[in-house]
Amino acid sequence: MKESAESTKVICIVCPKGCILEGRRDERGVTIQNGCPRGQEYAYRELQNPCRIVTTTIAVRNAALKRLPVRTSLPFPKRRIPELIDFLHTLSVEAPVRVGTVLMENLLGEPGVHLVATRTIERKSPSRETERQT
Amino acid sequence: MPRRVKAQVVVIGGGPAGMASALAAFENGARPVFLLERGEYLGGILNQCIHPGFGLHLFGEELTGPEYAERFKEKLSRTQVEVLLNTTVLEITPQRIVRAVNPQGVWEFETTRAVLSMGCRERTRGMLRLPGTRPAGIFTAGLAQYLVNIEGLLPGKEVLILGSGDIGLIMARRLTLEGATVKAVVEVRDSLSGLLRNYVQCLHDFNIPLWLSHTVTTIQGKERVEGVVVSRVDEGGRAIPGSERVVPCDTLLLSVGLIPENELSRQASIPLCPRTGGPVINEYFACEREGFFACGNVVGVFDLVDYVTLVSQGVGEAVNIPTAFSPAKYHLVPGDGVSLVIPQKIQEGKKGFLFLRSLQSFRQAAVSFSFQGKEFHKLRVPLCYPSEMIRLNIQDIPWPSQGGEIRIGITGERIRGIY
Repeated sequence: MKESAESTKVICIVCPKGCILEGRRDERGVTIQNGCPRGQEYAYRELQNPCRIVTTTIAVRNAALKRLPVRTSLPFPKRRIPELIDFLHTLSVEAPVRVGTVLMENLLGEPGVHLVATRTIERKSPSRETERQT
Repeated sequence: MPRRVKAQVVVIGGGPAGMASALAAFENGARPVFLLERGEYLGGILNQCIHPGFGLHLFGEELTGPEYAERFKEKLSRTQVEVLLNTTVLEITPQRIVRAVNPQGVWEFETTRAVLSMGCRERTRGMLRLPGTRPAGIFTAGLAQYLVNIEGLLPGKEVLILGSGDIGLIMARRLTLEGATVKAVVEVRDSLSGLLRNYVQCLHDFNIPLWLSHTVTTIQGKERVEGVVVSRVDEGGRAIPGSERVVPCDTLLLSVGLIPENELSRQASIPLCPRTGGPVINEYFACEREGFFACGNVVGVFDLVDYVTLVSQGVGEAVNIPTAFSPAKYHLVPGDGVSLVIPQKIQEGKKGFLFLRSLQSFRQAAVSFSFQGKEFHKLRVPLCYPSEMIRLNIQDIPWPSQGGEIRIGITGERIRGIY
């Protein structure tokens, strides 16, 4: 249960059973020892190259809101997530932004993994600003 | 003078429940439909839930909270549902007069149907009666989520989370990604409260420890949290003397449950259920007061937004059903092993969904329905977790011909630990 990233044990999350699947790693790669077909497929991916959908927020200029929520279009390699977050902290986009807009392609060189806006954010309306000042 | 408006439907609260019920009411021909939202935007808490996992049942894909909300905002914008933002409802009378205030002034709606969709709020430190000092740095998990995801602020650097519910787990990951150190997630029960998937992807992925059968017994620090004392608990949930350890941290997050938000329902003299904290409803989600419906987390806390949408769409249809307020035939009561039953009343047993939540995690579980002390229906469930509601079709249950009290219980082999 406390296995590190190098472990060959995987808690399966394909269904709520939560089986512990064990893999064996040799020169030909990874073989999964137990579990159902769906679980084996999941565990294989987890041991080869675990990937996750990454969601965070980025800065947005001239917007009615301070942060724009974003996601990766596809699962992104888990080991590179800290690097990705650091990179996203440096990004900023200009409002308005529409939900679903691809903001950047092939994130950190990962083919097919794009950065997508997950919310529509309007431009800051100057009228509201004055309304607030009064 | 308030603006007086006659409406067929007024929906209070523009989160997932309010959006879906207003939309469905309009699509079913109700005119005019007003949707009143206190905040600056529609979507409610979905807007701050930027993680994926929403919409799998309804749309067959994993959306983030804002994406899920956008689908309904877009649909609403193509209807003549009158959405009033920045609009706070001050009072609802039992006669369905809805008084609200917004920058345009005071409004008074006289409505045929009122839909309560105010959602829920978080349990706080005061409700836990957590002893210790009262420094800065104690947040509910949802508030921390708002600060991080909407305001772009980090509430602290070294964090301890009390409660292993899904919001707590999600925030453990979120804070870690933003550079904070999450020392541990502490859970008073002997099993995980949230979903296994969230344990794996939010704690295990980041090597964040989960301490089951532990709780926070004291908070330390004067101006700011400096540490918390964590103790092991016995079977009854009482702290074991001598088991204390001090965890240095500057922030304590509380993820210890949600309470349906029913101040307005009380004003309108709507009967509430002591078990759920929300209105007593039937299979149409009609309250026990003519003209009032309730949907979403104001009724009882749902685990999936998909379910909230589903029942709220049902309410949108039911606003036109004249028999929705007819007397109920069956009264459903939670028995052993069951923490929540929605709805509490059933008229005929021919439509709608029945939602059950178990009190504990069970393997080889059985859901048992009994009437006058005799079991008349039994359903096997291989695995059953408090974090995942059981959803049944009401029409699939062979209701007894005679009306009365129906007791629903869940038994099985207890699962302790994480899974």
